[in-house]
Amino acid sequence: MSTPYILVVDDNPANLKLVAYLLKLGGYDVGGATDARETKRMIAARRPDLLLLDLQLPDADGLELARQLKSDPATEDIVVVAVTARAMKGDRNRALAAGCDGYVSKPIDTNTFLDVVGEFLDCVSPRQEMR
Amino acid sequence: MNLHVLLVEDNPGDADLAREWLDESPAAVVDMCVSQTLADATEQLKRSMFDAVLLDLDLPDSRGVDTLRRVRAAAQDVPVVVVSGAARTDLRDELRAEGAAEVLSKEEANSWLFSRCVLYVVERNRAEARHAEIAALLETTPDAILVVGTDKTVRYVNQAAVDLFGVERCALLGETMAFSVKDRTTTEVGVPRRDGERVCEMRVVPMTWKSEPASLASLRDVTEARKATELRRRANELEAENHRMHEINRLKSEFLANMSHELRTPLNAVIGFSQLLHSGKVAPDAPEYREFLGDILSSGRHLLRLINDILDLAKVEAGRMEFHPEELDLRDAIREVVMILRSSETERRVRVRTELSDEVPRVYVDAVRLTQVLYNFLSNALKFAAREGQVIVRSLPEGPDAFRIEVEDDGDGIDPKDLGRLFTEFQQIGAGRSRRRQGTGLGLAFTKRIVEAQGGHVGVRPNPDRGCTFFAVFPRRVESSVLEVL
Repeated sequence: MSTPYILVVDDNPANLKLVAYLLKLGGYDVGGATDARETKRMIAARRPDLLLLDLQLPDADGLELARQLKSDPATEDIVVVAVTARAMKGDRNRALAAGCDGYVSKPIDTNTFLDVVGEFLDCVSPRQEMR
Repeated sequence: MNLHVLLVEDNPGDADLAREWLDESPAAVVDMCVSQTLADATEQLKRSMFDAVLLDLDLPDSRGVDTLRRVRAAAQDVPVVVVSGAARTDLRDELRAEGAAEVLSKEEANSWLFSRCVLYVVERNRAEARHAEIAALLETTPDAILVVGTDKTVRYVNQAAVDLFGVERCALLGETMAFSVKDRTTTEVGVPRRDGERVCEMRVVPMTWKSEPASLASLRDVTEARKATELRRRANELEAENHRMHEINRLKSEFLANMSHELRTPLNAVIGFSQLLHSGKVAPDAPEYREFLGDILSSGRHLLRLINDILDLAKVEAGRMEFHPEELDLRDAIREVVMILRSSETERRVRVRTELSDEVPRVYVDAVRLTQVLYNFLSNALKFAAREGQVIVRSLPEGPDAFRIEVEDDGDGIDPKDLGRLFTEFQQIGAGRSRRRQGTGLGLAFTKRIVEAQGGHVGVRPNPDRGCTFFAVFPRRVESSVLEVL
């Protein structure tokens, strides 16, 4: 089993850096994108096992991007988890309704974040040997 | 005149004589039917319309006044001329009372009298029918009709007028009309009545009444219609108000959701990196250690800026922002802001040029707020200007009482569909990677509010070639009354 590849999408450089650093600590392969266009390009270049998606992107609404990915046969089985500062009532349900497989609100808890990520990876692929 | 007459006479000799008399009449062409019995007469009356009935009272099947009653019952609208043998005065009176139009005795009748009498009865009946039609029209029309003489006294009123004014007809006639008479145009008048004033639409036209000039006023009671209109207007108003409240609520929720998002975003970096460092996952001597501290610091500063902007915005919103207008040189104030920002923007080599009009040298405004507005526009322009591009700052007169500050950039411009939400809180606009998240998304919203609070307005327009121009219009002298409101 190869190392799982996780693509992190966040238009805030500090937040992108934080999550990417954590995931590298967890031993994952990590890619980063700051908008929807770049995200699509990176998915086409290398299919991620998990997509951590910020919902407020400069060039698109993250929910719309999730919907597109989930309705395209080529990308529909990529696990998409919304990692977002949208944390008002209804935001979790809106994310799940758009096709996201999970929802994590910001600020994230760095102590438990890797466990959460691990659980989402478990859902689709056999447990990786890595950690 | 063409006459269709029914002669009811059982004596053939008398019948022939009557026909002869009428045929001699120069004034009428008579078409005559004859019935010898009452039964036949009523049958004929049912079948066709006659202009008159000439009736002998003594018939084989009916006698005396009763014959008249039964003919009248069979045809109420047809005038009946009774032709009797010997007509005593008391019989005449009785016959008149029973509705006979005329009574002729066979002895006194002759051709001329007979035909005159029939013609007269028919004409009178026709005139009465016409009068009844016109009266019915006038008395049943729902519009009140009054005829007013040149001396302004009321000469005629119809039933609707009596109903409208709520007084007896005789009380109205001869009364002076209080309305001013205006030809043909519709005016609205109030008609006082015991149960409250009625609102009427009145039209007045000139007419001739009994050979004298007069005016005809027709009034339509529109009280209920006006009430209904007023109710509808009120309902619409309430609905609009309700809609506005919903909209305000929606905007508030949206503002709150945006604020939550904007605060959580830098907090994510602050808490996340702090937690990392605190938990010992990053060694103090690792190169990331200092880098992450820097991230915490800049995110913390961004948070502080956000909080300050939100507080400023809340202050203008609550009308608690203070303005201290003073006389100042507009060109100096602008040059100062330009100098500060020019020195901070060296990386992308954007040139800043000023075009300051001599026509607005001195103004009386709050220097701090003016500077804030210009700072906001100019820092945005520098962010979005092309690399090594150019930004122009202008001051211009706007009529005698106002002036305008413009900041023009040569960046990518703004999508027309985004123009509307530019001055709304937390709406950061910019295509793809060119967007820099240094702003809080509150700058333009705040700018709009402080300019409006001083009696001015802001806006943006696309340039014909590249980029766009933001502008703010201020009164040359910020009025003290504006300040009092605040």
